[in-house]
Amino acid sequence: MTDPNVLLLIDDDSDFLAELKEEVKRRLQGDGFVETWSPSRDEKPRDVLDAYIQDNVVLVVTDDDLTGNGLTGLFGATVVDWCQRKQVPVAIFSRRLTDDQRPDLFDMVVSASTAGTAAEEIVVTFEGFVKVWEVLSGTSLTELSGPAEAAAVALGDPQLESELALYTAKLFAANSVLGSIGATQSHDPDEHLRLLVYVVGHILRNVVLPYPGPIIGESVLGAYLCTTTEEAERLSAFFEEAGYIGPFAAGRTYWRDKVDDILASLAEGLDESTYETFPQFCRAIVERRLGRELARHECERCGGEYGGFFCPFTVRAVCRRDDCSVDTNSWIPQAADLTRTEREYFDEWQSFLGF
Amino acid sequence: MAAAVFHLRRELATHWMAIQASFSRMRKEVQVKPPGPDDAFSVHPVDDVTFRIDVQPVAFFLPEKPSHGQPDLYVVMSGSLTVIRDESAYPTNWLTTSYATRVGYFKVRSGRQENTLRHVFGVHYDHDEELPGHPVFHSQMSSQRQLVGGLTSHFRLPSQITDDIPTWLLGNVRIPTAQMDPFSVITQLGADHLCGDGRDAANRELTKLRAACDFVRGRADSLPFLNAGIAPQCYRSTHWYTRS
Repeated sequence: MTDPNVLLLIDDDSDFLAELKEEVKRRLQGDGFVETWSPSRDEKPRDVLDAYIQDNVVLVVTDDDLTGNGLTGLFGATVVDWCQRKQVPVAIFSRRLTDDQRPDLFDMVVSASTAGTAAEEIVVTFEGFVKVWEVLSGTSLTELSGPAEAAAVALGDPQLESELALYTAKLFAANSVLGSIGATQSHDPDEHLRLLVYVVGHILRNVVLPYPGPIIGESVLGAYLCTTTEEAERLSAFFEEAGYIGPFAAGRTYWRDKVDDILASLAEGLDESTYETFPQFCRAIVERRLGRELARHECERCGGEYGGFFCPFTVRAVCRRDDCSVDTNSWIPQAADLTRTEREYFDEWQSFLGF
Repeated sequence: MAAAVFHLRRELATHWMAIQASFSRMRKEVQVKPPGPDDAFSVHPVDDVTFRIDVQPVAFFLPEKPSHGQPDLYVVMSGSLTVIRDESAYPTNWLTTSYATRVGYFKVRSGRQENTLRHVFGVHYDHDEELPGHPVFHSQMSSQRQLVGGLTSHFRLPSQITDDIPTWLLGNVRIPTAQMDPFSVITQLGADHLCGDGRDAANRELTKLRAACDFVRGRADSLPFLNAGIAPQCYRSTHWYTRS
């Protein structure tokens, strides 16, 4: 890829586009070039987009509705389709749409309640793809056994290959985008690299990070320790050495095994067998170190006594009790072992959502 | 002790993921349940260096034979494995002290009674170092119909068993075996049901599956009568009985 890395923003609202561009540029601090396109009535959109999408375009972000300037029939979904055919990562943003929680490998939705919040998410996504590109461009692709190993390499820990393979096990067979990718049959090494970055970036951004397993955010850390997200925020210094700063890290994010290392190093003298569950033991380790009790998370079933797991659908701490959560549904990647579905949500929606 | 619990839990999690990945790569239609290591295993300290791993019922949906196109066999296993932590041991820090493994094989009845299960094979593996007449590692074939709940909790299957074949087998035949702890059985399932002639990819994957199941060292090293005289080279089961 030739420098600089380009981020293309598309919106028919030129005022919002200008504001968004400034917010993104401020956050990128010079680490990328931001292009904008506001489609108008007399343009041939396919030709314009083709002209914008050169080899150095890392990410395209488009509004959902692009018809405001009189170019009827052009919607974000069309741009998404064109970009996916070229294996260019593309996200759609909207003030109306919210991020779908179903792990759809190649779809990205950015919440755009304000230009600032949209810019935050766009920059994390852009920089994530750049990081994946930087790592994989220095790797011999022919020695990789597949996307899971490539994703493990991108995370800097090849030992994660098995876990990452399970993260993607349900996804590849059902994804029509891969059919169009396979049809290109290019032998160009640069095209192979682009394809791998495209696949690996989406695996990490859309499947691994949202469904807690080896990498956890602050809310999940709170759940892991049977406490609140607010308490987890206050523990950032405590777990600083476990910090994850790899691709697509948003906010404070941690390696779970390094969190465990820190807990293990502080656990001597506590008897795990005297605690009803292992997550309570983990909480006790932190409480002893801090010299105070951690707040209990809000749960009407247990009063916040238990926990250890996280439901991404209700965004709450859950535990293994049968009345609290179920261990799996068809939406949860196989290796996301800290992810469970809250029982009430599961019972209410399973017949509609195909869990 | 507390730090060792973390280490053991992490190892179990890592290996359980690797086991599931290997089965999936050997045949994508294979299913292994439950996916979460915390749902599959629990670790209980026995003393400062000894830990018992309880294996909750874990279930596999496999082809009966490698040549079969689709999975048609359900296998459910429960048991325990007790290990001691020895930092100086090589190549693994976990040494077996005892184990017990129960395995039940089931098939869905087809035809007019299609909503029932056939219990087609059952066995338990354990070891005894003291009882006279017991080979140190052995198996006994017997009905394992009590494991069916562990199967139906993971798969949508009928719970009624209309045909319990192992119940007719002689239960006190103690067949000398290798150390068939729960992870040895997992290796066996991959080998028996997914590897065969012309399945090179699966055969290669078996090496990875074996590695995932090899994080504990066997008990034989620690037993004097298995290391005396010709026993370590001979392997005949005549050496596997305690001397009174």
